[in-house]
Amino acid sequence: MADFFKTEKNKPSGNIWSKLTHGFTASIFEGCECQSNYEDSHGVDIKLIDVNKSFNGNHVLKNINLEIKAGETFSIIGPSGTGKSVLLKHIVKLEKPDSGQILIDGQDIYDTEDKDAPRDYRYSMVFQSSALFNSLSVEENVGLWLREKRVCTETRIRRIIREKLRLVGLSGKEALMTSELSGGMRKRVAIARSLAMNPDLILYDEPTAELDPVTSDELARVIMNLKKEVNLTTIIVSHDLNFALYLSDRIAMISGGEIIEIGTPEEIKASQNPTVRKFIYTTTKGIKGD
Amino acid sequence: MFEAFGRKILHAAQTTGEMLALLVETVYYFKEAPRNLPSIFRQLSEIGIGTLPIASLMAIFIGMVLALQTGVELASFGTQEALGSIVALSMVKELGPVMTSLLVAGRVGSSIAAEIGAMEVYEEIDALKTLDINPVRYLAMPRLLAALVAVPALVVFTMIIGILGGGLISDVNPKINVPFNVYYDHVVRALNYKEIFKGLLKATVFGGIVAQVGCYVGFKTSNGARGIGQSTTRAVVLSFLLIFVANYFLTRFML
Repeated sequence: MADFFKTEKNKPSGNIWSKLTHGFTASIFEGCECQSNYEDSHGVDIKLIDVNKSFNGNHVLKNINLEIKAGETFSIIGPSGTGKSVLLKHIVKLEKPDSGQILIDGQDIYDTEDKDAPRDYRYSMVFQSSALFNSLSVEENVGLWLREKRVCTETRIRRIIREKLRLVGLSGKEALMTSELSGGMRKRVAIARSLAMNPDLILYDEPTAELDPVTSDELARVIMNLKKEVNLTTIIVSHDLNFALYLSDRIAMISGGEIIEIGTPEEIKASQNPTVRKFIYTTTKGIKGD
Repeated sequence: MFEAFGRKILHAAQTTGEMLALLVETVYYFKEAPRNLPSIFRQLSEIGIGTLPIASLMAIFIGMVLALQTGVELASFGTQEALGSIVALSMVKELGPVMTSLLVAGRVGSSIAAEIGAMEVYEEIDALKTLDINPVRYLAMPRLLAALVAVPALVVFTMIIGILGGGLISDVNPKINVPFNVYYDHVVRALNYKEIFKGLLKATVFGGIVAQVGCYVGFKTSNGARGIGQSTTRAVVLSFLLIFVANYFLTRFML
């Protein structure tokens, strides 16, 4: 019995208490200044093993094997309609694979009978459409999770919202309604909303879609700054090669539902795979060099 | 032909099962109501206060038409004094709950389906899931709870206004010519707590149907803007249908 407690104590992410305090079951912490380890963001390891998914007979993901390390910024690139976003949705449990496993910190995310069981990591996703709640203001959008989960006191929540909006360059925009925002601002509010969770894993689905080059560049800078300031695992799905090359530690290229190349930005640029070469050539409009 | 018929039966069974599952999950989250009070009050205001002016207008005209049609016929037999009882019982047992619920279905049920449908189409529901906020608890529970409270409250108003409308016509129309005090006397004699309770029970069930159908259809929305439009129509049609069916069975069991 004593050994049991000793083992659990030495394994902070394994026992139920640490899951409760780091995960999402927060309402029991109401009244304290902040949930005990809200501030602690540790990044997570992700492993996909032989993941397959079909929709109406269309095999969208074919034997996907992927390993993403904690704290890494990993991009998945490829032409539209090749299964990039579907892959992302599998990692955040919005889709379930037909076969295969998805492990986060060694734990199979579908290997639990209780779908509401507390998890010992926090994740958030920035959607292609931003997916802001139109009936809420910027401040309410960013603070939604904090208030719903009662992570902190209201004063502290307001402070966190201000801080996250500052991180994405939107200080003073708290009172605006989402309908008053430009596309780039919406994207940044969505990022701030994700950051308000202080996630261990953040996923971006086509962050530069529908943005002009200047706004895309600003967004890249925001994500780059976050990379420096916050310790989290980042996965970016994009068809914007330059954006991925600029931000990523590693890149995977997906084509026809299969991963055809994985490597650092330099390795991807030097790849001799004809599909990768074609993608690089067409997305850079045939411009040679870096 | 049989295959198509079978498919329709299967689809209806699936829809019924899914709606019941959603209902069970929504009722399960009633325990979270205290922490969702702002959202519940917003919905109460939308369903109750928002619908009150048009419901009042509808009720006064229903009461007036009912008194006019019935009163003139009764007058030809010299029994027009019973008009108060007839209008009161009609408004309390049938017209109040059914007409108000149909109005709420058209006004609020469609808006619930469109709002949740738009959230589904524009990935807001997915965003809620990634924020670990249960969409049923966050969206469906406040709406169902508010409808269960607001629709019976609205029905009380429509009953009163409808009866008053009937009284007005019976008093001023020379073909009926029943003084208001006589009309009122018959209203009071005809009504009892049991009848009022039956009317309010119907209203509660119909309110639940409207909110539940709106939420269910909203959550099932797909195919972009066109899908949202289709969901709006579907929510209204399905609500109407279920209200009529439920009305028959409730009336049958409460006879």
